Amino acid sequence: MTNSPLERQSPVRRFWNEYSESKVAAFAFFVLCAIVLTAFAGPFLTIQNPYDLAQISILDSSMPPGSESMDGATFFLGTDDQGRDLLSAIVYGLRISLLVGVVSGALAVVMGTAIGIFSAYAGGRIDNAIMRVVDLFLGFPSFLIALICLAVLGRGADKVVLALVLSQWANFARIVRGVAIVEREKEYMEAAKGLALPKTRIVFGHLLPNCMPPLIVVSTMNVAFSITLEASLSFLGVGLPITEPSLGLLISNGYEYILTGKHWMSVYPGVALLITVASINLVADRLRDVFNPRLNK
Amino acid sequence: MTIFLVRRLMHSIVVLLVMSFVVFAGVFAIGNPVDSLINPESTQEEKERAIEQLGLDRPLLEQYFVFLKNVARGELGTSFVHNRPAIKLILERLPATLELTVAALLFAIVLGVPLGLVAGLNPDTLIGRGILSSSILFFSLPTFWVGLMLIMVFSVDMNWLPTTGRGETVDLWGFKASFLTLDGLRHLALPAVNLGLYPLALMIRLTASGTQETLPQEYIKFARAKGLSPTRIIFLHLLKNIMIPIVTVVGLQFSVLLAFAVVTESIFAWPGMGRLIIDSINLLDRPVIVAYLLVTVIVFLLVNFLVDIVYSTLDPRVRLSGL
Amino acid sequence: MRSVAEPTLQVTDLRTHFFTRAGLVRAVDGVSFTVGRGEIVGIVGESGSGKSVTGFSIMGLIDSPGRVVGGRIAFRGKDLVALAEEDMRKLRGNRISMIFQDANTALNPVIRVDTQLIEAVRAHRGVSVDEARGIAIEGLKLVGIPAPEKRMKSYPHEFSGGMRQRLAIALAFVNQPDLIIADEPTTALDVSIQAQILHETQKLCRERGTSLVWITHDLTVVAGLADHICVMYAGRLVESGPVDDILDNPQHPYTCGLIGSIPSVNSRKKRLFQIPGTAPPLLALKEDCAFRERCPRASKTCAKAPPESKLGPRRMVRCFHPGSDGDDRHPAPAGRRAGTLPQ
Repeated sequence: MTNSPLERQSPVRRFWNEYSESKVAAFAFFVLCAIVLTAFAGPFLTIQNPYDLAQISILDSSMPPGSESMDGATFFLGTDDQGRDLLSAIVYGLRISLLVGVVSGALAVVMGTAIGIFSAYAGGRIDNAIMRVVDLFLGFPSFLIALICLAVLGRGADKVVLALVLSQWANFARIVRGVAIVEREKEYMEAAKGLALPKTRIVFGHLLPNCMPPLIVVSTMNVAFSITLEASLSFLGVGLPITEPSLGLLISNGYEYILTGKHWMSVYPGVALLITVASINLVADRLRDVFNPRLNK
Repeated sequence: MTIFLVRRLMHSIVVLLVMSFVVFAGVFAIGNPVDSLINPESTQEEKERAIEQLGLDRPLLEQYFVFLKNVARGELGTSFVHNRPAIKLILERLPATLELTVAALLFAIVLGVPLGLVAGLNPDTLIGRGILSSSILFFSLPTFWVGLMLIMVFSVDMNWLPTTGRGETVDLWGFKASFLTLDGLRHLALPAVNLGLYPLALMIRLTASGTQETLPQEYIKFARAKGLSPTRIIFLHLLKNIMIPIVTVVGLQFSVLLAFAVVTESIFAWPGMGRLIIDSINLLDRPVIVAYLLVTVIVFLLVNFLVDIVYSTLDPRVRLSGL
Repeated sequence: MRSVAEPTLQVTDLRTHFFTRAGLVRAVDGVSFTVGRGEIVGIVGESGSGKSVTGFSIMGLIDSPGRVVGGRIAFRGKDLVALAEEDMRKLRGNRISMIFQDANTALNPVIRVDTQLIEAVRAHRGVSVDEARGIAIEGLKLVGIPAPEKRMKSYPHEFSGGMRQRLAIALAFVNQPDLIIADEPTTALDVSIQAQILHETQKLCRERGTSLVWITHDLTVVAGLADHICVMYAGRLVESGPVDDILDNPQHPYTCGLIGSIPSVNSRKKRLFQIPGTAPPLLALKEDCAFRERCPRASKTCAKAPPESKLGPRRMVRCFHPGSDGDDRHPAPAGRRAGTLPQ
């Protein structure tokens, strides 16, 4: 592609060149961008707001893909039992799923990072105690932790986010603490201390940049995992309420109709979920490969 | 070796105690079970009588000690909903869940390790890359949705396999087992595959990366320098080293699958603990939730204990160091 | 009909290159030497000189991205470079065996010692497991491992460092090979154990008429051990010849420097000579003499590829300015004494 010597390329450019050596990963990245854009622009792209009762008609219910509505619009993916356009419902569901996944992922990273750095720098007994708690959390499947949290907290988007954060933060705390302990020992940290830099500067200037590669990879995968987890919980009826229909709830709604052959109601939301999660995972997997030689240095 | 095992056992007991309190305190915070159990139109007097009867009026710590004492005697309270001992309800359903979990893990290991080996030995070929890419796909497949799709394809469209229940079972040491009858196996197939897809992906990736990490090791080169056949190098020298992380992950995955069985059981109406716990959460049936969590934790700890033993036979270095 | 004088190993113009992402690495670039029957040849060079790659090339164990791109490795007249992998496998550990640098990493940590010994025997001989066990125990006795029957049931980590390397030597000798390649097998050991191992390997080779190629960065080691020495620098052979000739009358400035840096009894009070600088990165190698930057004799002519000068039937130097250093700064140690007394 480019013939210019390595030094002349910007870091982002160089990173992208290395990343895009895997065509699958490059494709996944574009798919992911398209999904995020679709979710953002949702209301402008869909033929209806599927949750505005004034815009849907029960007469359009359970129509197969490609059918036309009473007022002439095409339901490309059919409609559900309430007469909602499935494509519109998927776009709206995608918004909620992505939002829950990203917000809980981000919060888990922040919480884990803070606790991990604190633990590493506190050292001694505090570090020991925190790590015991982390081990306890890691010893239990995140699905079980989320399930218990929701059992205690009840339903609702905020509660789902909290449950997801509580079930994942330990992962990040462990990673960041591991990196922080290593970094703490490093010479340049000593040098930085010798220069009497304020602690915040050490953390933000030295420590965090070194934690970034593993954090980026794990948090990307974590977003995918959170989306799946939320969908599973909502499917079981302990996650999001009907008023905030994520992809999981859409699939759950269609579940009853699968045996009667109206498969589209749960197949297409599932496909949307799968494409989203798979593209995030593919991107994360490639990021790990690209970061890895640097991590090993 | 004995000291090592005793220490692990002690550790497990401590974890169990901590967990019992966390579980109890956590579950205590779930709403007020009285609201959901007692007829809202009942009088204040009737309510109070019920509260006293259930022991819900005493302080948390006292309730916990009473609870611990009862646990020691094997009594975890009576289900508010089913009006039967909670532990019995759970233990009745435990074998079905264990059977499903073990079947899913076996499926993942038997298929995943060879596939991972092929991918790890030929990372730059079409087959190797295909296996690794599809493992990412398996990772991304939401378990519950795959369950629906399996039902749709194999039960509704093709009518090959049944969708619900355990089918014909055989008594095995007092438990019911599905895997010993053809009908039971047919019932077990779809749920096990459904639950096993995620660990399958994990096994593939773990074996593949383990293979790629082990291949450049000196002892592999030395084995080649001895003139051993490639088969012997792969199946003895390579695999025995890879088995160590695999056994660890299998142990961890057992817990994950036990939890995720909740989803699969709900879809395939598999009569295990999973469906029961979802219903209990929705109805705030505290004793059942507590019993489920405690039984699950005990199973986790038992499995971890077993993994430690297998681990120490696989890795002779652990035996000496005592970990 | 094989001629009586046919050497066990004859390496001719061996070239092993690595095709890395960063570029072509000529790890071994035109190396030739001969190992006679029962002869001990030392290959000396610092890390990155290509000496280990030479050893692995002979074993046919060069992995991608590396490849033997040219030359001939004639083992008892048969060219190993052209040999099919399966035929090569039958030679490995059987007619040619190898002792690795660190027995700690070379022995499989999770497999019992008896298994690792027995499989080595059974890979090449059609004997039963029990017979193979007998052969293995004999092998352990030979290298001086006490209570071999009992030790057979142990794992490698249960041995001490020296015992583990003896185990590796037993493995190398167990099928009575014609040639053993030893890749710095004593560097990971204590000095006192080094001397024992060295002595015993030499004794075993002499007794059985096994040829030995001993690869090392330490000239003193081969000075007391080898019959013939090859000095490697940056993938090329810079000097080779009979051991006494090399030690008493080194021609290449690099060899002179190596000998000058050996602490010897009679130069105790003098400051040891040190070769200035470090070995060049193999990636950037050009046609010129690779030692030029560090060489006290370097001149403008050294920008060209130095020619190989034959000084005798098996005596060679690759330099524009050969000759023993007249300078008395670092006198060559008398005979082999320096080598037999590792520092």
